[in-house]
Amino acid sequence: MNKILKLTVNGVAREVAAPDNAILLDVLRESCRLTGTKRGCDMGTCGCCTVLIDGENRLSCLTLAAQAAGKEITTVEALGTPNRLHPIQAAFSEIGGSQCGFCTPGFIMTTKALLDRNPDPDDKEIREAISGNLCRCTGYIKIIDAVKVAAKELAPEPARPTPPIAAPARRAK
Amino acid sequence: MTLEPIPDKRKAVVVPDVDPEAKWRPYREPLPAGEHPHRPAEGFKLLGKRVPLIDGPSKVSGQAVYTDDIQLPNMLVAKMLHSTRPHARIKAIDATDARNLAGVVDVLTGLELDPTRKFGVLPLTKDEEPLALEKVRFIGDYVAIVAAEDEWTAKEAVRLLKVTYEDLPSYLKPSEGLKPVPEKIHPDIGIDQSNVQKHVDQEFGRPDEAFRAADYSVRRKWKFQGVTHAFTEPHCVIAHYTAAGRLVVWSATQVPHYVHRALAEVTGLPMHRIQVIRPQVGGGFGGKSDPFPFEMATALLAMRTRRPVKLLFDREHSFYSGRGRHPTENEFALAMDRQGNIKALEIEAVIDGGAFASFGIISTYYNGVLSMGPYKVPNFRYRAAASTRTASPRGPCAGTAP
Ligand code: FES
Ligand code: FES
Repeated sequence: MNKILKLTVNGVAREVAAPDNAILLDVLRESCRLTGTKRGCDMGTCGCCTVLIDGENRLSCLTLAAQAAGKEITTVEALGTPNRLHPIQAAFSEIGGSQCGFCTPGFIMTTKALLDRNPDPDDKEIREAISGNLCRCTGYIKIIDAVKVAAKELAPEPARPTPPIAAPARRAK
Repeated sequence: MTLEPIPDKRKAVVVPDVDPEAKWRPYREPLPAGEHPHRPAEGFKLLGKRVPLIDGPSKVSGQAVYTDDIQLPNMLVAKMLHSTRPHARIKAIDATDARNLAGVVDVLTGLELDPTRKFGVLPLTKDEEPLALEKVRFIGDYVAIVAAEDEWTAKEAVRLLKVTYEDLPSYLKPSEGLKPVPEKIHPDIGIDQSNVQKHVDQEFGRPDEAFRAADYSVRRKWKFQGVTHAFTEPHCVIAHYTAAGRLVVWSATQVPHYVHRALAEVTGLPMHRIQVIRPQVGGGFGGKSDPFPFEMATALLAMRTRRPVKLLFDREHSFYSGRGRHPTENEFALAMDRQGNIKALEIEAVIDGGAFASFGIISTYYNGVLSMGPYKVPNFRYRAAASTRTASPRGPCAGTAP
């Protein structure tokens, strides 16, 4: 029997009719039509379906939609659009961290969660963080490069001493 | 590795193994421009520069459309019944319960297909059927396809299908197929009474003389166990036979043109009434370059139901269907002179093609042609047999050679 589920997806409150055992990935892809979240294996092995639930990266194919009710769900669509990419998205696109692109939304959401809790991760921390995401195209090196570039891009500007304000030059009359 | 000296000149040479001290480094720092041979310092527009993909922004923003992202109005969900036997004759398929299930729109089995309409990627070896016609040839072979209003109904209908099999001898090692067999996998293909699909003999120079005259020679046997591509996007296909009499197929395929041609052969439609659309594909590496039986079966189902039909494989059946690299039994012999120059190379290979030919003939040639790598080999002999086996079909994997 279907029940009404109240979900907050990408900041939008939604009401979705779904059975008790509905999987979050199905609800996102089919009911919300947010197909950026990918179905790679449907059994928690590939990481393509990674979304953020209250800021933590979670596999949506292993999450009941009901478990996410009342929580903040974030998918790749919330980060940016092609003309206004989020720095993580821009880094993946420019560095070549995305080839066929099927694993990419998952990697981007994992990266988002990583950089939110650790803005300056080292190599080991990056590799550990993405260990649940599989990519068959890139060989990971460019993905790690992209995470580093994104981290640099997102780092707050170091406070610079304010330059003294020069008196405006007088125009000779 | 120790080389075996040929009997008249007893002198063994020990080739040092890979330096055990050398550390395996899983990650390299990118070399700065100018230090890397492929990244010259200055003066080039593209060399040494990162060239982002033109569809990069759509992929990183989740807007790129892959086959499973497409949802057509009034679309049916298809599910496939896969064989549970490696080699068996289909005696009967009872689809009564499946058909009677509420929400089931159509059930198609091989028994209803035209047995003359076969297809295959190579015009020479058209041995594939949209659904198994009279027998199944590997675990995972396509027995029947169901179209229903939703996924759960389709799955339940597949569970209700009853197939009566009569088991036939299965061939699990490629070398088993070389001898005459009691029951050929493809009765009308294969050399004599064996499962061998192709013999290749290539030779140049005088390999026998070179081996006799060589200072050293080595002969080794090994097995290559086969690999699968494991692309991240499972196989997916959508077919729609429009009111205007056009068959439109969206498929996660690498080569829409092969699919186009095979669809024309299987459906009997002229090619101008078929359109194959390739949306973004989530990796293929060769594993999505065949026209597949399930693409044909989905198209036939769409033509029967006159509604759009989508078939998405789960990971398990993507592995059964994805045509990984051929397992091979190899014997290599190499002759060398004292300076370490290669004098001759002799290879015998038994290549396991799995249940269907696929690109098998090409792979059989390539296995020999590419075995010299970048070396100059003055004398060469290559003998290979590609044999079918009652196992998942094999095909190109990052290239066409095993
Ligand atoms: S689809 Fe969820 S981990 Fe693969
Ligand atoms: S880009 Fe293709 S799987 Fe990662």
